[in-house]
Amino acid sequence: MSFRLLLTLLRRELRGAQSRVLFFVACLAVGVAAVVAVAGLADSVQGAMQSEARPMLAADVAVTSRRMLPEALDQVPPELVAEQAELRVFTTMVSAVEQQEGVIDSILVELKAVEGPYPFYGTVEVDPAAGGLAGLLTPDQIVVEPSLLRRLQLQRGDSLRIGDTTFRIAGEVLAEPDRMEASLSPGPRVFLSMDALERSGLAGTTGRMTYKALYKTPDVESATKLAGWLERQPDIAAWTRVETWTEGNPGLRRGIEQAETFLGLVALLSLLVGGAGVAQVIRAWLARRFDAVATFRCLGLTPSEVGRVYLAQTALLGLAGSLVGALAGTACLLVVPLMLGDILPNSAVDPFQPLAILQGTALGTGIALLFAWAPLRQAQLVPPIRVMRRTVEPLPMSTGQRAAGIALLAAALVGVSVVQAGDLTTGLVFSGAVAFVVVLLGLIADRLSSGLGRLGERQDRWVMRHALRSLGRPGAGTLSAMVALALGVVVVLGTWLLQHRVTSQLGDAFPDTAPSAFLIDVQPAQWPGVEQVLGEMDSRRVQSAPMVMGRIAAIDHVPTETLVADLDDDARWAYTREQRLGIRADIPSHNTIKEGAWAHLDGVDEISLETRFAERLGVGVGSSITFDIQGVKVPLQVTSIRDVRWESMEMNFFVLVEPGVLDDAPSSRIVTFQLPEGNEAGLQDALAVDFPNITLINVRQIRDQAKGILERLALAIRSLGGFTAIAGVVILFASVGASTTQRARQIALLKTLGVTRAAAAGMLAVEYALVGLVAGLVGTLGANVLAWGVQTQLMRLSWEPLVVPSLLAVVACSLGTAVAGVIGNLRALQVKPRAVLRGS
Amino acid sequence: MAPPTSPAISVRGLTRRLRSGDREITVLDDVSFDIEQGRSVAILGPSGSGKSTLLALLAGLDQPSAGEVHVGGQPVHAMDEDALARWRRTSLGFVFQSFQLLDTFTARENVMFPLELLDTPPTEARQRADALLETVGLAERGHHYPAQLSGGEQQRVAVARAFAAKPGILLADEPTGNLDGPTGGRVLEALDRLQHESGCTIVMVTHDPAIGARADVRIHLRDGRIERIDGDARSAG
Repeated sequence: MSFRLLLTLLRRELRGAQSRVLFFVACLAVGVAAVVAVAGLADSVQGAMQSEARPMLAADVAVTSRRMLPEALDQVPPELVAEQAELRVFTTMVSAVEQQEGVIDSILVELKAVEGPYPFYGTVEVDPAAGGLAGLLTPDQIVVEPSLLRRLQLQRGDSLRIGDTTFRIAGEVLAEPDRMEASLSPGPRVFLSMDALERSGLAGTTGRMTYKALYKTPDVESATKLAGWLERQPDIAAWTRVETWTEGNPGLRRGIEQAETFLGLVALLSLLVGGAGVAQVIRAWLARRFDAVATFRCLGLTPSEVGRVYLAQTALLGLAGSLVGALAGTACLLVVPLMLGDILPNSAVDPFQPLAILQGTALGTGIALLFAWAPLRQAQLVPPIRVMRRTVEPLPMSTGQRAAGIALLAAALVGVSVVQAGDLTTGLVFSGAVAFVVVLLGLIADRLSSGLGRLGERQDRWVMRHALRSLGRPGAGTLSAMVALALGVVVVLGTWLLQHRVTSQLGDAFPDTAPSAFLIDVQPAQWPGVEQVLGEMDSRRVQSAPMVMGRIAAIDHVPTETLVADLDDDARWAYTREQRLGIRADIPSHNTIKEGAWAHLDGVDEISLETRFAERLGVGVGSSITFDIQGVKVPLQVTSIRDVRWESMEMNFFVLVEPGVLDDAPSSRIVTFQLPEGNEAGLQDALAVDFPNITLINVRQIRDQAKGILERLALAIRSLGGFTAIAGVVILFASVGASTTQRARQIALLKTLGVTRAAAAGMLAVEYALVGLVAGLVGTLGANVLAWGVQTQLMRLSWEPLVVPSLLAVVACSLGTAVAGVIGNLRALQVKPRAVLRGS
Repeated sequence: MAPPTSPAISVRGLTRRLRSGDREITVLDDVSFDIEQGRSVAILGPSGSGKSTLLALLAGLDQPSAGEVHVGGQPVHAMDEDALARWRRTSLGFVFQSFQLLDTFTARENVMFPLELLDTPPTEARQRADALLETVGLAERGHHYPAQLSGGEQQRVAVARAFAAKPGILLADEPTGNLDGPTGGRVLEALDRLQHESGCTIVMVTHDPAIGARADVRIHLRDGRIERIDGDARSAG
């Protein structure tokens, strides 16, 4: 067969098939639109995260060193860097130039010398705001934190001595983006330019200076490349710590990656459900073409030529449906930001996603062909003798062909899953789960329908009897429709259950009870006074616990020096830094003991370690850790390992010590509380006067950022839920539409036997309602299993069954199918019986 | 009178058994005959006598349980699906009781289709289709779809299509079975006229003795066996 003839046949075969073409295109388009939109939304979620996480580092990549930055940094590949800046941070004493009676004249501050356009992300809020930080910093002007002014009782415009030079205080710094981590800050911040630092004479003298090179990269990929490059340079990697903005919050990033994978797979699932719809449409379509196929065969077309015609047709329609879907998905990305307004930053959504469009189109076309394989094969097997005997059905496929078909389907399913998941294991697990669910849905649906079918024998009313029996009739073709429908329910309800849980999780993770600020270094004697100040500032939910500072001296009697001998700076830090040992009798409610017990055994000085901290140190239950507390060596025994929900933002410790063990050690208190918004400065002032040693850490900002990101996630899941709901409706009509040809003849026959149109419609409604009921029951079960799995295994959330929504889903599926069934058969109900029966 | 050359159709010991539940039914039982080129043959017999099965076996649409069928020298009983398809494309024309026009093709496209399958240039195919449609009296209806034509018109289009590729053999299965008398008459006239022009062999299944009477040869079947053969053919059985 020539290519021209193939095209001619293709064109002629598409005539008069508009409604089928529409269904086909719709089924596929919905799924592809979901894939494209999810890719875009995931991108925008990531974009949103970037816009909020980048400021935590103020750059894309940062190189931190305790020594002068290595010269190798001058050879950084220029194409990976858009801008760069340099920081030096160190602690020093500064003093007021004019001393006042009764006021301390010098304090410890944290100096930050800046060169270049720092920060790349976020802003340093200064007062006066005009001109920003860069506008205020000159070789003889500096900017300081308001608490410094209060503590030295200075004013803007006054002078401050740093090193051997006097500087004018040009303004106040109110917030800086990369100073949010709750690390101990030795004193108020002072900003100065690198030139000013040179003038102060301190540039070369201070031993504990931190050097930082900040890089802004042209794009996200470059950041990863740059970090990789830096880590490969021996001169750089040996002395520095390289960070990218994504490392700012690894837990959150992992969560978002998981969510992206999850959303991508749900999108694939809606595409697969669309594929099931496509299979229904093609099956019904080709069933109507069996006569034409037989005629083609009689006129001399070989089976493979017949196959080629319909394969080309399917591929063409698949491509059309996929392109429509890609367009729809792109349109969604245009519309979604408009609807969401300020929730999603507009800049984060790029509606034109060429890669996503390509991927969606390829997946859509592939899935159309995949699901069309069996019906196409059946068309090839239509025997030409059907021209003489209308009732002759296509020959059954051989066992080998069937096996080959299943193998092809399985291979393709794995292929598209791996592509969409972007990772082999996830793809394999996903495709295995889908295959398992489909087979299970099929088996359950089959058992249920034949059970209901037997129930039909005992019905007195013919409508019920007929409807029930037609469910259980072998070869009724309802099974595939039921599985497609059930799969639709799994996706729609499953997504809804998940988004509901994630939304309520938002409330759980950011309860109104979460603290908004911390105080550290509260001395035991100061506590009553601090408590009073907190009360005056309307603080609520004040909680405090004593803690002791200590360093690890030995683990299992091996001295720390020996343990860290071969470690790099970063790993060494876990051993050598000063630890806060929280003293608590009970385990906090948002901690879970994973191993061992917090039992306060006699004769054992117990400590409990946080899981990841224990992993880093390589210790477990039974290990002995000796802490050096102010020169005193105290051996303690690990009796439990805890998981900590850090996102609860409550007071948490890597190390908990049971009360009584460290009673003699010098302790301080850590305090958490909620402060009404706007009272921060007032509290800071009040504390600065009476308790200058106490540090106030405000976590409201961090909390709001994390909350923003989770809200976006929930939103993405909700949008996807909308897609799958549309997919579900399309599948519903496709499944119903697939059986209408058959029904038309049945209805005509019933009418000739004297059944009224209304009674025939009633019979259809009951029959379709039963199909919907079985699909709804099976699908709801599947959706709950899916939601349970994702929530408990992937998201580590607790699980609560939602009975009412599940029941509603079953009812809605049943009613929806009944309505769709009657609507889909309206024409069949109206046609005169003679026209139908003569045609057969 | 038969020339010593090989006959157009040669059937030897043709048997077709069908399984129906546990039973085996013999639909066609050891049938043998030869038909010479250019003859018109009617296969007659009551319902269930095996007429249509015989026709299907001649066309290679069904496989015999035993025996051989040679058509135009081709061993139809031994050919695979692809070989049969190519053979049908070049050598066989069909007319069916239920017309079997392709519903998404216009009348002219239906007639053109066998020519297109043989890669005939489009202009030539269109001219031949138009000429054939004129011969069957449907010159003005070429652009109509089957659904827009009456039953008789549809069958005449089917007749035109059957002759399009100038086949050596034309098989017809109750071509007037779904038509009333006068309409059926016009279809038969068209068949006669085109057979006359092309000189092909026609084998027609009918239960109507009046139609059978128009043929050169009449093969009477009963219960799957040849009851008798009238006219100018040779029974080898």
